Amino acid sequence: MHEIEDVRRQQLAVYRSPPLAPWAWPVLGVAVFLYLSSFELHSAWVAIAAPLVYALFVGMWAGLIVRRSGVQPRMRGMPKPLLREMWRFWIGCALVMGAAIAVGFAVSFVLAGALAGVATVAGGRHYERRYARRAEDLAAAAER
Amino acid sequence: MAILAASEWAEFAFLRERLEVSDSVLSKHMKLLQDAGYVKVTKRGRGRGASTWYRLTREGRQAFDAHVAYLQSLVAGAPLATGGPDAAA
Repeated sequence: MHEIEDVRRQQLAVYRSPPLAPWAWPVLGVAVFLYLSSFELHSAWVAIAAPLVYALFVGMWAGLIVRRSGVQPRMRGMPKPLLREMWRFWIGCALVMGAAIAVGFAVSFVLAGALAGVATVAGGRHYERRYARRAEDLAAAAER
Repeated sequence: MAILAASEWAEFAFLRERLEVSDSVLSKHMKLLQDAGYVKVTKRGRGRGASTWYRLTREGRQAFDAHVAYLQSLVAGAPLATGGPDAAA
């Protein structure tokens, strides 16, 4: 029995990674701003290069986050409360991008980029706090 | 193994801190798991920034799952402790 509880405790530790560096969300917010603002340039080269550079940057950003935390948690087998938080985050991202594109076509992509950038920083930090709280709750429940 | 089973990849320092063991103890255990074909090792970077990352192989994951399933079957089949004088009988 103890060994099973130990397995559970050790596995929960994987999902209780330390908080991200303070620059992590602002840097991503700036990248989102630059990417959406690039839509205003109306250049074929920019239209081709911008998504590639943005995708590369987000990949590097995610890689750096994993490298700094020292662990990449597995999605399969992730505790349900944490999985729910992650889904909320992705739905939030989709909503922000949808709203930003709507604002971009209606007003300006620079404004859309600025709004999406701010939403990325605020939403990202909010998600991080919620995720950490859920992970702490799970760990506390496993200790009992 | 439990930590690796919940991870895609885990770094040496992360494992050492979570398990509260020394470098040499962890290295020795990881080498045994690697030799058994349960763990794959990747070294990233060079010099001071170098890091060693581990992940469970398919065989390692299967062995771990089988071990946990066995433990759970033991718990499920264990007699309930009543606390009475005949409990051990």
